[in-house]
Amino acid sequence: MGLKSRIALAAFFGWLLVSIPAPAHHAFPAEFDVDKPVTLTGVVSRLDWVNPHVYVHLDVKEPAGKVAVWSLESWPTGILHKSGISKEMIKEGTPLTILAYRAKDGTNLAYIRKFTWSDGHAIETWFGGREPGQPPQ
Amino acid sequence: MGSGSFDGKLIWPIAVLVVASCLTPRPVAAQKAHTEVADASPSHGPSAVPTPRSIDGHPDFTGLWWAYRGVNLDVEQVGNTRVNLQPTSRAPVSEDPENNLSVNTRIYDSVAARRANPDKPSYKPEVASKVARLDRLEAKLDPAMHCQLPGIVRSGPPQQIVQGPGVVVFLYDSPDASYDAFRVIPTDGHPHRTAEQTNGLTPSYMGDSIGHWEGDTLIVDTVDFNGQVWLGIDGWFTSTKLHVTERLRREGETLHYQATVEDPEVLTKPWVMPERTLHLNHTDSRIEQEEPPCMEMDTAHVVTPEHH
Repeated sequence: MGLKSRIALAAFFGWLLVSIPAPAHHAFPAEFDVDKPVTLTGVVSRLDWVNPHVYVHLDVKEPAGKVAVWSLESWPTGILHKSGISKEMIKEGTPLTILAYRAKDGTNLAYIRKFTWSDGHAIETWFGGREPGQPPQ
Repeated sequence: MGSGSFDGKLIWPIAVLVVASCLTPRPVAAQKAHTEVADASPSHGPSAVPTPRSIDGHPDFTGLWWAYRGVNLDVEQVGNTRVNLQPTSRAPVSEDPENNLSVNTRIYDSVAARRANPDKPSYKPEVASKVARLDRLEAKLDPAMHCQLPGIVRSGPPQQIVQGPGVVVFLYDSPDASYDAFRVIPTDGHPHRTAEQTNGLTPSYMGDSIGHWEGDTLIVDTVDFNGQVWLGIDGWFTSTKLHVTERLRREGETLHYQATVEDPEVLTKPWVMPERTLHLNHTDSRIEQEEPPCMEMDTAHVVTPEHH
């Protein structure tokens, strides 16, 4: 079994077993569309290190030179910390590439799956649920 | 994200085996993480440790009983990428997964399975439509989703207890760090307070609690709730007549916790929740007490009614 399959399967069964209970805040599909991934490269313009979700605000230069501001949502501070991401690592001014899933309402809001820093190292914080392309559960 | 559940204990070993096989061979980092978790787990057999007593002769509940430190993540390193995986066990280090019977914190693999759990409050027929409406609009209306305290019994047992003569303090640390809460519970005969005595701070989400001893069992009686407390995620609202009775008993390094919910305004009968057993956590010295603030910013973007 390939790594990707193993991760996907482990994520699914992990999700089945673990499923953070009621305090996990809103259900992902009420707000985001896992079939609408977006990869954004920019500079952190503001970090909201708050709960129940951390928000990374990213200034992304568009081809025409205009700057689009994206609000990128992630896990609670404690889970991000456990995932190897400190407040310092995503502070204002940090260049980042972020893979995220877009909000259903079409605003510049998305839920982060993967952070990649300019030195090439990356951290993925995706804890199961439906993978892109899979049917709804 | 995701809601999971299971009915029946047989799924546990099967699912654990499946997860284990999915991740085999595991990188050293993941193996190490598991070893640490295993080392941190208490022995769940009968406790040979005597129950400690406070200077007034009552059992001493002081200790850290449930440190839900978010989740214990599994980690794989793939080239330059650290991949954090959903953990293979949700149970906090000091609670038996098999004993995690509370409908609010039990593990489910679907919303339907959770709803099928018979452990739930029984609502009067005349408020059934209100429960259904709140359930449907949970993502927008659930107080706990908007940085409000979850109230009792949704907060579960306290994660840490500090006890002195005539007083017990329950401390709470939420899994998603959206709240830190405490309850100071007199056990010296003080009655419930009036709103005048609390300077208008009651009624409230956590209510007003007093305790007394029946033998070695601590009974905590809580009233004066604000009518904004939900008992669970499925629209289980309450009135200001909510009355919660908690029973705590310590045997060595095991804490038995049971809660009964009464709300004659909206429930047909008391909701007697199953007892949970918690184990003393020797790993941590205290719960977290000052976490980043809770700021709800999602509700405006919720467009469809799915909820956990």
